[in-house]
Amino acid sequence: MHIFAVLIAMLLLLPSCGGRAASDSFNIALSQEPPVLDVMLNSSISGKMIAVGNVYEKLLVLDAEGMIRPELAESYTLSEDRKELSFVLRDDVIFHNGDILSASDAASSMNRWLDAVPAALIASGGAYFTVSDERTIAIRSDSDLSFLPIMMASSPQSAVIMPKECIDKAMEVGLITEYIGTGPYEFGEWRSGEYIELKAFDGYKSYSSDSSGIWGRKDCSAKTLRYYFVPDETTRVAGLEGGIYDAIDCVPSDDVERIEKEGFKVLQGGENGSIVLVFNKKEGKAADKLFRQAVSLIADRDTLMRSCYGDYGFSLHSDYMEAEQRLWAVDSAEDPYGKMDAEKGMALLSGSSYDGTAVEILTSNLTNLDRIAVALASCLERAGVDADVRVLDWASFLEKRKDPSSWDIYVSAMSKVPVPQLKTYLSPSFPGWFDDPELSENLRNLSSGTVEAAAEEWKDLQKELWEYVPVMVPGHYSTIFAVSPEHEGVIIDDGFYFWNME
Amino acid sequence: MRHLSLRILSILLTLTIVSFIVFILQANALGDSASYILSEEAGGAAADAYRASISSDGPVMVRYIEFLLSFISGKWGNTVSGQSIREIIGYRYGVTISLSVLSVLSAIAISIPVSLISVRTGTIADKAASSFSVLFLSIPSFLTAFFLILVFSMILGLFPPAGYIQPSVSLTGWARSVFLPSFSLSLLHAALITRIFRKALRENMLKPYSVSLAAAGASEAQVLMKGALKPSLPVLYTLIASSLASSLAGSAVTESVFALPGIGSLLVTAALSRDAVLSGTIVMLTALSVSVIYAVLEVVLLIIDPRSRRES
Repeated sequence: MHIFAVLIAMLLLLPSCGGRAASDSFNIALSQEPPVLDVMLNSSISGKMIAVGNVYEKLLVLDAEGMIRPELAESYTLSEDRKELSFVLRDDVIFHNGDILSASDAASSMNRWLDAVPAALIASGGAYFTVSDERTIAIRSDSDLSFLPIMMASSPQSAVIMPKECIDKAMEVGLITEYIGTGPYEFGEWRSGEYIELKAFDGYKSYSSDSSGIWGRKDCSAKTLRYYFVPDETTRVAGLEGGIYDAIDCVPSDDVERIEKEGFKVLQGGENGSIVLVFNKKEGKAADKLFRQAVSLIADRDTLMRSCYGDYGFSLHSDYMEAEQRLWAVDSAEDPYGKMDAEKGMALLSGSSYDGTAVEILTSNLTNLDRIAVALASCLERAGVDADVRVLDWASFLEKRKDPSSWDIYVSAMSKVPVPQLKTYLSPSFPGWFDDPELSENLRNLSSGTVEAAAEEWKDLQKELWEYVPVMVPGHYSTIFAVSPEHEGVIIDDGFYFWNME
Repeated sequence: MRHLSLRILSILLTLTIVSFIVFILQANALGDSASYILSEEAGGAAADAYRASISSDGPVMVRYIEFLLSFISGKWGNTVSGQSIREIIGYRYGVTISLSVLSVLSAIAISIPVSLISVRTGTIADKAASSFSVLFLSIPSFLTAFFLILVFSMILGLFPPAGYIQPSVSLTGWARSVFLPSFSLSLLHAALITRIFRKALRENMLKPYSVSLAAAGASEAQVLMKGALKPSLPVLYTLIASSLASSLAGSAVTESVFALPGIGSLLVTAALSRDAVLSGTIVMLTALSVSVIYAVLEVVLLIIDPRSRRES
């Protein structure tokens, strides 16, 4: 007993390892470890926060206003007939392995991205990039290429540039395993289950003295960034308060006010995506439009979103696109089924083909989506509609939802996409089986003109979709970040970025 | 010698059965690794190249035998994320082993004195020890962990609430980083050991050899230490072995709360990502460790307990 007491006393006398990190190292706690850092194939938010912008850069990015700005490209040109797009590369870009960025690196990277993102390949009309000269790449197509730049700048599967050797190797081994980019930080170390470390890259040159959002000047004030993986939210907050971490993501709603009072900066990111309740339009109850409209009126959107996020980290609007995508914004007040009206909903239900059997709700336990499913079942049961909830892990969920006989509604999350055509639930082949030929045709037609013209057409199409109710969007989610008081200048976008921090 | 051979044979049989069950369950689970690794929208040649790289064609039995051969040869391959299984397990198993050993040592340091002090029934020490056992056996381990973080990290600021520091980086940092998680686990083990070890001590204090000692004028403490303690040791060693085995196999929750990169959380990831090879390898190693622990226990019991020798 004495020995035990002495051991504890000795441990307490040891120098603390819990103090604030040294000024050249910045420690971040993330709720999830990315499965891979191949950001062309995997669109996890944690992977993008770590790799995109820090390690990898793109030809084009969106600035704080949502405008397309060149990053690794010096300039880009869309021909008058909008069928040729060319990019002149900056001549001062060095990869972390010391090689200079060449047109062949850029073309290989972009072509792997086109391959990995079927919607982008459709937008390119099936055409691929070619090398025009040592600093220029171009893509020529029989189709209109108007949508390609915005997809390159903001696709969830990132159109990042890396050396051609990495791309070639990935085609052999399946994944990018050497993380060599052009960004201000180079990949250091990945300790599985613990952290990923990035180190400031000495050869990095900022391409602008201005900055706007994630575009522009990047000065590495922190020489090392360490992204720790801390799945438990209580531990993340305790680590921030205890000085182990300088910044954390996914702050639980219950802690927001308290840590704000303690002086920590609490910041809400932009909308990362939307929660979607996808109706089975192929068979069963939800194949009837009246049933879908009824459920949309019976469900209390506020309850659904709060069940998952608490008081913070979401916004209530039923637009399919996110609020920051102003070009595509449609006033959700015009959604005829966007506000709870249980009485009207029950009237619609009684006029539908609903047979009174239990509504089968399918979901996954990923990021608390099951809570939304339970809240939905509760809303339905309160209105007298029986409901069963089935919760599976993510891989099983993806497999199970392919079977139209096993569910009526599934609850999922849809990452932000740059254009409405990329909303997978509006595809006839995607589980949910969007089946209206006229609306599908209108959706396809969006790609036939300029982005601005498509945005105008989308306004009408969004209203038609609200009437048709292929899905119900109760709200949009965003991440709550917290940063220690002594750090200024953290950039908040879809994630949080630290290169211009003071 | 025959006993040893049988023991080794039984370990090999256990490993084969356990790994076979896990491998078959993983191989036949709904969903695949691609749905965990790739974005839902990913397609084309890039996604096909990944699917080809993890493709698991052929009958499950053939794949299982290939897995067994690879495991035996030490060529464990890569995870479905492309990382070396040998490297990951090497690092993460070290974390789990250090956590398990420290937690069991702490549990021994707590439970033996508590058991000896509280052996007499009806005393304050007895009631306190009983309350301690019931409390920590009934509280879920994550609640104990949060309580310790609250007290020792948030209020007293003595230990870091999360994270792991490798001993090669800083020995003192390592000791501080594993103290709370191992203490958290040790409370559960200590509660169990105290409860059963005390019972064994009490039973042995009523046995004829203890009664004879008492009749010869030995004090209660002498009866306890000279009469009851030694026959109770097999129970104590068995409890220690089972605590160590359970720590090695199931500390995923504690690892998750304290953000420790241990083997438990890796097994959860392996199951979610449908990584049959990684799951199988972890289960094989865990089963091997547990089997070795119980084999060592058997040997120790044979040495210290003549009854075991006679039975064997």
